[in-house]
Amino acid sequence: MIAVLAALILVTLAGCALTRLIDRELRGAAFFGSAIFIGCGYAALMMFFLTVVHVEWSRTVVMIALLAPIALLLRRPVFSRPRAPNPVDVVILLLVLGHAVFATWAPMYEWDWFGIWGLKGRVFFDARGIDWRFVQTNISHPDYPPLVPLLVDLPSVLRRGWEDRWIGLIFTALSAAFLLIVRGTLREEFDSDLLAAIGTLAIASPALNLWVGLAEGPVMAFGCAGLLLVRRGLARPSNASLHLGAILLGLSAWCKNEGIALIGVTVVAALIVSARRVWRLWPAAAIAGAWMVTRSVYRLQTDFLQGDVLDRVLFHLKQLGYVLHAFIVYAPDLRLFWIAAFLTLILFARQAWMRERFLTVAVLLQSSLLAGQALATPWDIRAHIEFAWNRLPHQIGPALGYLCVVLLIPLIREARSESDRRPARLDLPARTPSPTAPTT
Amino acid sequence: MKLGWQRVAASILLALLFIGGFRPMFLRLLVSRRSLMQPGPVSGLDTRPLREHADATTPELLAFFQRIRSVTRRGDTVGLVFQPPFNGFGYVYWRASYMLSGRTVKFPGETDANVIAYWPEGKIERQR
Repeated sequence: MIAVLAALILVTLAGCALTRLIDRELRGAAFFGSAIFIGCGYAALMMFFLTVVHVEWSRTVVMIALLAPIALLLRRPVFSRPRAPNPVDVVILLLVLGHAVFATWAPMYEWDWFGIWGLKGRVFFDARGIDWRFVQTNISHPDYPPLVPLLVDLPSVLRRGWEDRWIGLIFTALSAAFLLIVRGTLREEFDSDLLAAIGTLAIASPALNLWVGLAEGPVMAFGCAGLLLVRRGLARPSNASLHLGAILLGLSAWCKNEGIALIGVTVVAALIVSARRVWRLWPAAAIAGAWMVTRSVYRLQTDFLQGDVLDRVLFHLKQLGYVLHAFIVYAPDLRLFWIAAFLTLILFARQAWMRERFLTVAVLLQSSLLAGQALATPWDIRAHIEFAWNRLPHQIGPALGYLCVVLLIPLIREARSESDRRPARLDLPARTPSPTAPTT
Repeated sequence: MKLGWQRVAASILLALLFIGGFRPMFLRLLVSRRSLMQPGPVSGLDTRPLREHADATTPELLAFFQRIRSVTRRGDTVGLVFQPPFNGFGYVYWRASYMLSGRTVKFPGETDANVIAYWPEGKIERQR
């Protein structure tokens, strides 16, 4: 446990220094959440880079690399006095602690941990670097990006022994980091700690991903946090938040292939809202591009793209009734949450389009892609839906929940008093039209 | 009031979002882990996370994997001759691949390997 906690503290400190460089304006909960993400991304990419330059992973090398950015903190401290938490924050904290218990109550034994993520992590740790020959020759999804295996290797490298007993804490930390960003951005949005905490509580359980040991949690956390920060960036003249969000989106592409799709979706949504600022998302393309190039250099094939994809899609479309039936039978858990979320988007479609165009387009497009990818499966579509459909929607669920919160809470407030129509922050435009309404 | 229905609808939907999205399990786990103690499916096939149940693989089988690991070296090939329900290309195959990382675990049925492991006999034979 000490190795995992030490790894988390080190990556968070490194992340604090690097986040400070990327976005000087970010403060409070959103800053610390971003710092955890940036630190985790930095650690994983650093270990990837060490393999590229043929440096064997060792405690010394990894410690030096993690401590190097921390020196920046000595020059420019970032820690500010924390606000006193309100009772709702305490409930959120208890939920996070409950997830930590769930993530660590026993060693890992998820199938995909043994078959993909943990297997790769353990092989890489044994080799003290990425074993590309294993990745190429093993049938364990060679095309899957390596951020999660690299991240689970970090405590093992620090400990000099394989660690899979307490590794679940990393998955809790990533979910908690996302909740910190939610809490921080909602605080800016509503100008109220209580409302921000209530909004965060509404999303807390869906954000605390149950698939510990798989990349579902990390791709959700990096991806949804990236979306929220891009949304924040589009509402501000400064590009810092856009860059930070784009980096997180790029890192989500290093978690799972759905992260690559999310970058495309974000670009489309940003084009609709502010075409002239889309190119500011270049860090997402650069970071994801590095993995795409690596994948093509090592010829790592994606099973979804093998054979005639269009034929498979058309074949499955011909059995649409059968496919839709499978989607309903194997619908993801938290069904009332999904029903409430989509009802919100239907009932308040006009507000969603006028005020939250970016997030609405991004969430709906990504949801469609997550559902639509089943049509391209080379396996039996019913079995595919049965075993994937309870995981995949949760990758975008927290962003959908956030969208509902930023639509519903202002509606409840607005109806109560006209005075609430004023902007929450002086640097934000008025709520109508929304911060993410088109600017070009 | 024009916005009256919107406020009511928004309040109801926010409440539904809360109730529908809430997982009491996280709070319950702070007090008791009893809900997790039921063993999961031995096949490892479940649409829910396996962590919601106790590990269904027997400690004897896990100890056997550790024994195989201790008598093999990196680069060895290992063939598994396992009886049902642990034969085939399923959960136990992948669990073995993980626990025997650094060795190549041959596909089920293949016995052209340095080391052959038999279960439930618990026998390990080095071929070469």
